[in-house]
Amino acid sequence: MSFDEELSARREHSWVTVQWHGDVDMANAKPLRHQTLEAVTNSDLGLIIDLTDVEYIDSAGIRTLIEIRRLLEERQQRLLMVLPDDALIRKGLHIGGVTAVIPTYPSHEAALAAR
Amino acid sequence: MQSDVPAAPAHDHLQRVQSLTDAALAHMTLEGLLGELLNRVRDLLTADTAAILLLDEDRRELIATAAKGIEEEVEQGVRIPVGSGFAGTIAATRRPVVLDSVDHTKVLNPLLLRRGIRSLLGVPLIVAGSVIGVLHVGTLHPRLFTGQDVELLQLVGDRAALALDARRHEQNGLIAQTLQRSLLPDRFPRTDGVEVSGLYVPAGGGMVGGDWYDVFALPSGALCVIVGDTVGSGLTAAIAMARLRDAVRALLFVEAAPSRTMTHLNAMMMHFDPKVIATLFVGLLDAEGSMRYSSAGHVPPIVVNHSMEARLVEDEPEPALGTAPFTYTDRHISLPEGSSLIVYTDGLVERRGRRIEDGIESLRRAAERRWSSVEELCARAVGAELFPSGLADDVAVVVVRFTYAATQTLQVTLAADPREIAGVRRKMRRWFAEYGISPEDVADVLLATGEAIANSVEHAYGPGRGSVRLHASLTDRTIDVTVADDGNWREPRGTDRGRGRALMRAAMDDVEFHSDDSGTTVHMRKVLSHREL
Repeated sequence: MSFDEELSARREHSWVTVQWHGDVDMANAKPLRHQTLEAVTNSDLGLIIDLTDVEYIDSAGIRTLIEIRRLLEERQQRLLMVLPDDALIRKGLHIGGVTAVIPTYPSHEAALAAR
Repeated sequence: MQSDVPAAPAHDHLQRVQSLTDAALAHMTLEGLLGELLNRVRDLLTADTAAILLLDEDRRELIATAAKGIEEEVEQGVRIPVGSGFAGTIAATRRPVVLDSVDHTKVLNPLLLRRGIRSLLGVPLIVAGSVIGVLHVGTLHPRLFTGQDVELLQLVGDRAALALDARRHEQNGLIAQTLQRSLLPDRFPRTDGVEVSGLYVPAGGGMVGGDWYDVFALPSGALCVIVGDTVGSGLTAAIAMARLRDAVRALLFVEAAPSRTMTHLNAMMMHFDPKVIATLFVGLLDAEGSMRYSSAGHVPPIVVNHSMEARLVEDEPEPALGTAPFTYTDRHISLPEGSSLIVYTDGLVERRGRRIEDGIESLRRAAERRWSSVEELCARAVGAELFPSGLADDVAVVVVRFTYAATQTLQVTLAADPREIAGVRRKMRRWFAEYGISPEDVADVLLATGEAIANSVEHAYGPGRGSVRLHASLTDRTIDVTVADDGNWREPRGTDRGRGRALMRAAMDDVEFHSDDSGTTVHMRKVLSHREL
């Protein structure tokens, strides 16, 4: 994913969903964090980051996810993650400790249902 | 409990003997234990001197090991031949000896005479029917030791022998383990087209024996593969194994022929260590996958070909080392591309109540199913319920895999700029796609490589930005990735780099960092889970 692209955000039941896609690495992690946080307004209950279409995410991306969670927590908003069970990036997210701190669901519907 | 009657002498004695082996002594070193034991014995028998001599079985000599009142005996390292003099007679006859009056006709040790000892009482230290030493006490005035004195000292001797033996056993076990570990290679030579893995497992209970393996490259480039098994266990076997291992290395270095090495080794062992018996496999692998080897009574190696068919490498057996003079012959194994050679010791295939042939057959069959590590192969051959804690004997195994010599390589040089990294990943993805690597393996290698490049980009980033070089090579079963930069090494900063390293180690089987003035290099290897050829 390149950092001049616009992130699309949609809103259901006061939860905003942001779809990441492609590769997330040290080159685009910072702008991605900025754009993702911009999509969340004060009236939102929480954020769902959908990683279904992410093909690659490295330690810079992992740090970004953990930072977003921390910033939202300070604003008393929650963060959920969508990650299919067979996603190839699951191993890295697991080793990096992301799945331990961010509730993860196999589909967007499942995340919304569990919110 | 209160006692109105005075303690009977026998009971009193027993209590005093008990005091010689009580819990307070349990934490002491062997030296401290012996010293304390002798102090107490001296008090108990109101003697002036007390000494312990331990048996050196190989030399059939008693060595003064601890003494009180006659410390010079230990300092001067007095040795008494078994069968001669006072202590030597006790060890030879396994009976207590009382000397009411000491003179040079009965006592060999000049120190005892010079010290002015007039009477001596000594008892053998016996464990499980074997003499391990002698305990004796002496007085500077003439004394008639009574039958009760003899009994008492023997009682002390019996308890001391048990405690000593247990302590020595424990210490020897630790030394043997340390020795064993220090002699196994901690890494294998990196040779193109060859993958080596090795495993040593002590017997259940952590008991090490005389098994070992060794893999090293000769100056000619030939890869030496050695697996040996010295008979016995514990420290004696570990020491014999250490000597043998060094002798094999030295001889191979000079002879560079397995059979001649074996013949010399056998002659050397019969000359220097006539009591040691060992089985040994020595193989020399050249770059074409041809191995010359010699086997001295060793269990037959197994070759697994590319189609996962395993067969025993059986030739006319030649004798174990140390059994008889013999001229060994060179044998030959061909390792075609994609095949593996498994060399092991009998601990892997021997089990009580089962023929060794059956054990070898179950290892052969285990090798025919896909396995990704030597541990997995062994656990399958032995049975997961017995491996590794239920092994009766120690085990050494080496697996040498001859991979496809023709490797495919990918080389990329990029500027140390974060925006370059995505392009490198695209190149790698296309490269992987050509060779049928599984998506899981691709994800792992991309992640580890991405982290290594990110690391380099951070080093080299800034004014006078450098470049990063990526080199990847693929065999039928492994991928090697090297990422090198010109930057100075810096310790991982922040959680990103620490996490990056954890990711690299999780994604790959082997990760090595190397850094010097010219830059930092990361070598990584992964054994591919499956590849469609």
